[in-house]
Amino acid sequence: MDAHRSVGPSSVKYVDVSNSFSALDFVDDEFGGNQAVKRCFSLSHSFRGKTLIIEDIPSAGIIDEEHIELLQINSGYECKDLKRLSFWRTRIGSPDGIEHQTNDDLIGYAILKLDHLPGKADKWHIFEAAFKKYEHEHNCVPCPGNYNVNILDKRFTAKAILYCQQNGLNKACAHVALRSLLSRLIPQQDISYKQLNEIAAQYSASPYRPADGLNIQQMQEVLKAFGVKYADLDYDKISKYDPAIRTAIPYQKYLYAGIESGCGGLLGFSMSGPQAKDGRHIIPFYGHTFNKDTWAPDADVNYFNIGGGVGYIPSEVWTSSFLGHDDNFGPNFCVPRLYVSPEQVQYVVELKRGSAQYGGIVAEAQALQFLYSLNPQLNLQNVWLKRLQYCSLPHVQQVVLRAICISREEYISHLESLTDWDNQTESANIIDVLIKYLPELLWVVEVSIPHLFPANEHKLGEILLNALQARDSKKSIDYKLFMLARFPAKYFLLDSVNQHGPSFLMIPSQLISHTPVFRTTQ
Amino acid sequence: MGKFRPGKYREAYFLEIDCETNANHVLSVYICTLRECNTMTVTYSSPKIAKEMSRQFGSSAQTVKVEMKYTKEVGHFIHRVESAQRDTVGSKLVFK
Repeated sequence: MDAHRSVGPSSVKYVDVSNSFSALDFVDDEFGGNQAVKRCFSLSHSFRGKTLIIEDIPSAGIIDEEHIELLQINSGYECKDLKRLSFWRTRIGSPDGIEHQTNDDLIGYAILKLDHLPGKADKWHIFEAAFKKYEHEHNCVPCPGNYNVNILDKRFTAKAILYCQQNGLNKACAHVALRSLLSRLIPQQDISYKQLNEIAAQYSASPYRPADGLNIQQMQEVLKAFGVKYADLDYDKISKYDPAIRTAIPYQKYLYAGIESGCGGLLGFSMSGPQAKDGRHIIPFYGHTFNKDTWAPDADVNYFNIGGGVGYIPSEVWTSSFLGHDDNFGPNFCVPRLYVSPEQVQYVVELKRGSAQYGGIVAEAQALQFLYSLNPQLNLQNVWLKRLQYCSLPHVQQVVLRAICISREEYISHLESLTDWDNQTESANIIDVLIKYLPELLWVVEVSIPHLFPANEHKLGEILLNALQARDSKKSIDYKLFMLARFPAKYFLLDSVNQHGPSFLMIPSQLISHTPVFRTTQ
Repeated sequence: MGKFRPGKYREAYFLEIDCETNANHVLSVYICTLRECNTMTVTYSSPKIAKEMSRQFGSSAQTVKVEMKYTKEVGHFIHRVESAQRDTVGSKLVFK
């Protein structure tokens, strides 16, 4: 699937983009003023980019496939130009110069196509681009993709989330948003628009026209076809019989759970503003920022009430912005978490890890119930358990929960690596048992308390749920999901359940105080 | 695990044998009323971990009864989420 990124150039140009270079003039003159291309130059500028290499390249792989598809849609179609732009932190002025460059020197690349249709103005669009995230530690992009690209016939790897732009011909915003997220999740590591359109065409009541976009069913079928599990909600439809749905089940929870699990999410919304077109737009999200000084949790603005006065502080309240692409405007934007108003949001999708059977919002609610039910059993002799017990009392409910879906191996490796505030580590015997008896995929709902979570990024433990076990919707409590709860000095394991309720086995943990939260690979 | 032949069964009884101790000890029995059982399922459960932990940490393990709280509230919330997600299946809302 890398063929279109691996082709060698037919001609090369080196542009010095430091000092007096004007990106706006350059993009206006060379690329029809394309806004998304301007954004690529802005990103390069943020990394103090020094050189732009422009390669004329032949089409190959999935770009070839796209040309065939476009000719079928419109026999007069022609790709009049195809260029690969790469942005560098270093000065490069000759082919020899590339030999000394490393992946760290590459800020990002973009493949640009000039589409020609008879009777219409030629139009540039970005077939794909991949730019590094900002290096700030609070700019979190879990599990970025690795995109191999040849520049002047030397192979580089861009660690990023693929950005793609619609062309209004064979792909709309929904197509490019799906490709952006799927390309790093599926084993083939990329998808072509031809594949995507073939799936969507099967679920079209009228003759299928890719330029008209995709409906929710078509997006669901694409995800299913690539074996990607998801949890989604059509607010537009559900709000017709449940008017409070947008506040009861906020869209941010879906996005955050997908992002933290390394899969991302999609947000569909109606547009507003002076340049808004009719219709709805959908964009991918894949990361978030973290602001430990945010005021919102203290002000109870973002306390999440699941109903009946039961609630908690979701960890996403320390997220100032979600990181995402907008195909109209370019890659790697920060979209403030509360910027898109709930009334505007029509649809949200949380992409789930592996074969996870339920989403993060259900995992957090289920874990919350176990935590609050275990509250009377927390031993007050341990100061951290005492604090946790206080924060999880019915009249306090100030616990912080963070749900992440990870593999058994990731969890075990995390547990093995933990050293608590008192320099204690977990017993090898416990870890040996967990390696044997935990399922392959887990929802790990981390439990923390205010101040400890934002200031130290530490937690007091976690509740593990079996992510591969489908929840029995007929049961009010599905005990089969529960695997264990770990708190300072204690594990709780489900021993048995009878008509009087559950019994839990308590065993000691060598971790007696707080530990760092789980961090996904960045 | 006993031998299991793929095919159609109206009911299937899954017996899980503790292979670790080779003691033919039945850990749990699941009675399934499935129309078709084509594959052998491996189940993971907290009681299984509890049993093993109890074996290893018998002297320091302690069993406590717990009263589950907020069953109605959590159940209602999860039901609301699940039914909203079910009703989203096959929606025709278009994004372009």
